[in-house]
Amino acid sequence: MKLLSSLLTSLEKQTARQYRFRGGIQLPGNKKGLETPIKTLSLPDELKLPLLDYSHRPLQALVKPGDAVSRGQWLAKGLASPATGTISDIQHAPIIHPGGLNANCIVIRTRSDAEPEAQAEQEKKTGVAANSKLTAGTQTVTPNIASIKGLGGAAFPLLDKINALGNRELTTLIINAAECEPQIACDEALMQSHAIEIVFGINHLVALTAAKRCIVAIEDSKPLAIEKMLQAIEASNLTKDADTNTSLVKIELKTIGTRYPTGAELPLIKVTTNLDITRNMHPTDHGILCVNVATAHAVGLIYKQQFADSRVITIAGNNAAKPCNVRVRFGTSIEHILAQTENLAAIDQSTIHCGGPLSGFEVSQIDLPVTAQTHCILINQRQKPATPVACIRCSACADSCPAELLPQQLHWYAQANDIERCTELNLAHCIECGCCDLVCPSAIPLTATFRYAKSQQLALTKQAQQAAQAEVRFESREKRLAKQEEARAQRLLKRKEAVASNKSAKQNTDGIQSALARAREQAHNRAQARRNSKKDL
Amino acid sequence: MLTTNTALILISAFVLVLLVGALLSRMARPSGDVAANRKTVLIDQVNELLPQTQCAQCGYPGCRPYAEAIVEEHIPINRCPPGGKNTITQLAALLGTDVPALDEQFGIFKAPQVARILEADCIGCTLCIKACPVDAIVGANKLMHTVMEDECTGCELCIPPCPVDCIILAPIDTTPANWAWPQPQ
Ligand code: SF4
Ligand code: SF4
Ligand code: SF4
Ligand code: SF4
Ligand code: SF4
Repeated sequence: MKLLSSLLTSLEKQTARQYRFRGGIQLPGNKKGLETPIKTLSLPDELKLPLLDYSHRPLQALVKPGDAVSRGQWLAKGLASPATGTISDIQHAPIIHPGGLNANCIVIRTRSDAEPEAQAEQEKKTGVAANSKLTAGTQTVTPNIASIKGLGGAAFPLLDKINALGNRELTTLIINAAECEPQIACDEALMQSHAIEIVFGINHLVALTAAKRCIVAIEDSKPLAIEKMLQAIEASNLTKDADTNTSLVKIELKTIGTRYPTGAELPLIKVTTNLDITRNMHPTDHGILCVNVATAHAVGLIYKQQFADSRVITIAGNNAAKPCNVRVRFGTSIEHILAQTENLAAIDQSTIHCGGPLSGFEVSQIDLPVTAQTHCILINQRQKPATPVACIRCSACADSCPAELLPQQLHWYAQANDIERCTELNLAHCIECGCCDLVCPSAIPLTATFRYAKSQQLALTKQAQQAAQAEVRFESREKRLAKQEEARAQRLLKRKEAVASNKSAKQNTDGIQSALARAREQAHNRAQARRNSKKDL
Repeated sequence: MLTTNTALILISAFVLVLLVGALLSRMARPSGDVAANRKTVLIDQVNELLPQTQCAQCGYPGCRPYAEAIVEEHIPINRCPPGGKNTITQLAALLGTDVPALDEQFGIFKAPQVARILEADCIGCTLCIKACPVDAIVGANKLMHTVMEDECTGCELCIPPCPVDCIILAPIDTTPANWAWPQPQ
């Protein structure tokens, strides 16, 4: 008993100790709209869902225009319908994309009158499905974990993330509640108002993954969120104490220092566990999984027989009339959100930025549907970008880089299109955090150049793969043609032989015929002779 | 005494010659293998740098045959139009030669493209299938044919055989999956 308690206190001490990651910068949080509770937007008449997966690969639609769909039904693999209604169209439409591209989108004409009915149906169902089995047609499905996307910004499917562990044991489940990027406050708002639901979700996630340890990491700049989460966690841990049947581990809360980008995967692992993940390793190799706090909340929704088809979005920026955090159904247009939150007024004099101020990008219109990736919409005053000047080799960029890269050198090779050198300098490990940009006194667009170089790197890899594939196909075709040619030659040879043997057979029959003729002649002669001798008689 | 000594020297010299001879012949045999081996390795390396479009514009039936010709017959390295300047630079670096300009007698460099069949016009004659060096066209007799864009190298070999001119070459579409960030100015 004494041993156990001393172990526990040492554990607590460990979680209380502050670790630091290398690089990063201290930034003013500038988070607004946290005084007002999260508002849930009314369901728009139309939702538009891009048929794309998290990495923008196309998805195959399971429905067609005219189909009636119910909320929760699969529209495509991993894409559940966010509302009950009718598919009015599948069209090529603009999406939230840094290049302003279009994609195939499913358009749903929604029926808000069917909302209570859909919820009632869902509550009647028992059990939660933990697979991505698709149900085509008009059938509805049970609340499905496969519909949950990571809500931290990447929208990686939760189930795929868990499955990436394979048969390795999950030693530490880290709930990422750092939310380190300035201006974004959707997770903080969620923790302030929905801590109990979040902890409910975390407990289910712990059960689902059989995690041996679970740490919730929150930046120390969010005191109210910490307080609410601590209360909910303590209450949950108490019930675990009371319930001897449960094998669920207790949740730990760790307050981490406020420093950008502590919410990125590797810095987060470093500050919560003091573990350095080397470049050739993956967190799962160490039995570690990081799940965003809003994703954990979505898990809770699924286990409450509800739907994981909405998210909280931060509306902010220096031209936002009413900065706030709103819950929106996936597929809602930015225009509808801004109108409903009374932020449409200054739109003509502003730029619209999707994603955080450092990690996001500008879009050129507002009739675009939001997805699980859209955690923030910034309405900013237009401003001219600073003109870059020559590098003064101050190495501030390298000092700030959390990935321990050499941005100055990388930039030199990237702008010269020497992608091979960039690869050697570990370009692939750049997390595009933007720290180097922020500290650069010469205003050199480092991150944008790295994004460009990473695209080129990807294209080159793909090109090499395609060349290898073409080579294989070419060579197998050559072999096949050679084989065909040989078979043809063989056939020809056989036919020749057959013709030749036919000829000799003909010669043979000729022999028989002539022998017969000779025999006949002889017989004839003999008969003649006989007749002649008879005559003589 | 002297004669035995001389005999000894003679014998040992003879043995030495024999030994050296044996050694030399031993060394000579595998060295032939090594040279042949080095050649196939070099052919592989050259082939690796070629774009694998398999278009035969170089005058050889495909990339590997051209690679063989480069290594074995010292054919100039600037005859591959799809590879363009990039491929020539890489080949020159590998073979330690200067970097010649693309010999435009063999064709000009074009941006990557893929073939597309105007399906309404296709009469299903299967002639394009027979021409495609990488089996990128699917279809059956008298039925509409389609190009699998991921497999197509844009070699243009399917275009001349088509009796109704229904195959076009088009630049690869920019989609969210293959979009690339632009280079900052
Ligand atoms: S953007 Fe890339 S190079 Fe720049 S600081 Fe972040 S990780 Fe380092
Ligand atoms: S911070 Fe800017 S000026 Fe300083 S070394 Fe890096 S790129 Fe050069
Ligand atoms: S021209 Fe180039 S791509 Fe075409 S077959 Fe010859 S080596 Fe291959
Ligand atoms: S489809 Fe046409 S262009 Fe494409 S690889 Fe085949 S023959 Fe070449
Ligand atoms: S050659 Fe032209 S007409 Fe014939 S199958 Fe191919 S595309 Fe169709």
